Amino acid sequence: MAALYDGQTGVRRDVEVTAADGMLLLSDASGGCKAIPAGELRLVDRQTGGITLMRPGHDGWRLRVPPPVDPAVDGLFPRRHGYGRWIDRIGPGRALLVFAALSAGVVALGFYAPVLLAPLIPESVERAYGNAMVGDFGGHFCRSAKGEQALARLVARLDPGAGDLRVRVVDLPVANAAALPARQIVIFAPLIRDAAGPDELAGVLAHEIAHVRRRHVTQAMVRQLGLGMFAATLGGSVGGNLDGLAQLSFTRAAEREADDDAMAMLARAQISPLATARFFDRVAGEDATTSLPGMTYLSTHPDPAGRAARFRRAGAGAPASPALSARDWQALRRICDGPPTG
Amino acid sequence: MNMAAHDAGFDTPDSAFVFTGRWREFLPIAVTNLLLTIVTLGIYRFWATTRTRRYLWANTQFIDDRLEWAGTGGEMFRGFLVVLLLFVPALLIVQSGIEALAMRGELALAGLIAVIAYAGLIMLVGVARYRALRYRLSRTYWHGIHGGGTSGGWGYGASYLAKSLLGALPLGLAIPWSMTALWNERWNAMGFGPHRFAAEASTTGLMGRWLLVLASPVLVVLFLVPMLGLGAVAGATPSPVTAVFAVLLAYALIALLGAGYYAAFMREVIGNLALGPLRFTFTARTADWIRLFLGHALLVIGTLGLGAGFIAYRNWAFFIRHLEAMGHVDLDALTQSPDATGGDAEGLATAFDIGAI
Repeated sequence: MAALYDGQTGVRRDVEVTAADGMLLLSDASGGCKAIPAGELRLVDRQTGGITLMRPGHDGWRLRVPPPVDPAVDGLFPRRHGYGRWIDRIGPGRALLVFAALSAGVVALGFYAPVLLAPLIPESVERAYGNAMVGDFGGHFCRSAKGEQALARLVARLDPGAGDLRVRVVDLPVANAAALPARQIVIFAPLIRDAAGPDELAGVLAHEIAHVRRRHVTQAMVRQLGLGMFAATLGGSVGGNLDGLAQLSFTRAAEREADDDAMAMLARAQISPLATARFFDRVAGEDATTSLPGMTYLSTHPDPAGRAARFRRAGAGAPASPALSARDWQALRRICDGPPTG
Repeated sequence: MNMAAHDAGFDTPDSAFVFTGRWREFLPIAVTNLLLTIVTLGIYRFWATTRTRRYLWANTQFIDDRLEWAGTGGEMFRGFLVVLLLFVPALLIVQSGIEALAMRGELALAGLIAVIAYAGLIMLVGVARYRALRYRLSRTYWHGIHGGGTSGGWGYGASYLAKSLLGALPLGLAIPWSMTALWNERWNAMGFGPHRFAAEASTTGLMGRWLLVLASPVLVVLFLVPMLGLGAVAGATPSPVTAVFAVLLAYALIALLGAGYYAAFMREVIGNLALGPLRFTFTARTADWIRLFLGHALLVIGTLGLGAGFIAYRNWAFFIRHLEAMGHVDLDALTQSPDATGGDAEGLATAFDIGAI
């Protein structure tokens, strides 16, 4: 006996179910009989060995046929795997292989696309993005002619072809520096104020210049818009974990590259990297919560103690002279003393 | 058709809900769900949820017939997409706006916008919880009849924001009030078939246990610190083993008190829930909840996270085993629900990753 619910009330009717000519015949004990074309019915599930049918257009209409189901009735309805229609269509085994390959492709693309695409981003797009992101720092740029000259001399010593770079000091309470889109570098005033000397600043500056030269900023931009968007939307937790992993290794690789370049730059300019090593020692000692929230390009740096060790090794026995003259260093330290401008 | 059964009745409460699932039966579902979710980078999770619920509902007997889950993975996915299209651009604009303002030194304005955005987010969490519950009821069929709820949920969202804030303000003392008030508000808007739920939970039996939860840090200081202190006085500095033991004990104490409150809360709110002629009770005690959570933890740790698919199974089995109902269902009067079965299919709730109850 199958159970029939009409969806109007919860009353259950016991019916006998048979199949003939693509029709399902439902008959009850009183002799009542009804024929419904099998095409009007849809399979809900086969979970318990029996089958449950529904009738589209009749909310709640259910015919529950207990096992054993008459093969003539059973044969009218397709056997599905029940994984969801799109998986059933390909078959679960093949779906696993196909989607594993596709996903590997997507992840690889998300991983490498930023590096490949970064050179294709026009300067104007990058500048517009940078302006939208940071604008003019609310007019907090520090302006003093002597300070700016000193900074320019330091930049030129580190990177002789640095005419295209825009390096400025911003008076906001963050002890950090940042490479921004469109070849901009900002140094926040506390970094200069807390520095023990010009050599220390030179190391940080060289690191940011390396980020600009390697187009890491543009890569991060593309990444953020690409894989990050996917992870934040469709991916759910699996996507999120993958993205976190990709982001971490991506930025770590970039940071390592920038550190290597910075060490090379310092060596070429004959500036001692030991001061930079001491800077990282200091950072390692402090609580590392000095950056503003949401500043994507500043975060996920590697462990400062390890970086300190690498800079210290690089500095062994190389000839060196101070990064700036005492006068220039004093001028740079006073760069924010005047009225700030945009 | 005169062989119709017109009345389904039961007087022994523990016979109303029976869970007939078996973990060996569910295992292939959990394993294939996990594999497909991984290879689709998480997109399959909507279909995985649907398969899990189909199994759990189909193995839940209420009186004389089993439940049926009629939701589909496709509709959950679509609901989720709609929510994404609506909210993700808004969220990105607000987020980058805050970032841009902060970078320009407008910290006060950035902070203000962040606070407003955060309040909006809490409200959306409320709307999402409401809609998740309504969706589950509207896709749950028994005897061909489904449930539902009043559409919208925005008023509930506003109430959720207000009551969450008010509840937390006086040292967290009013949290039991906000939790029960929101439970009542949510369930009173829901129904099954022709009936509305009537939720009349109160905080009377909850305050004592809640005060213990609030006092748990004090209790830790009172009992555990002297333990360490005594060691220090008696001899040398406390050994690391004692310190680790004390921290573990502190966690255990806080977890125990939390579970104690939650157990009382669930008994109170379900015990004061009625649906037409039916009344419900929930029998899980503190020890049951602790066993459930310890089991979850061991399952996830023991399988290195692969067993997480069984958490939904264990939760459902736990819920059904401790749920009882009393009363008679008049099947002639159990007419189809007037509530629509449409809606965003938990889209908002999945976007925020939260459950219904």
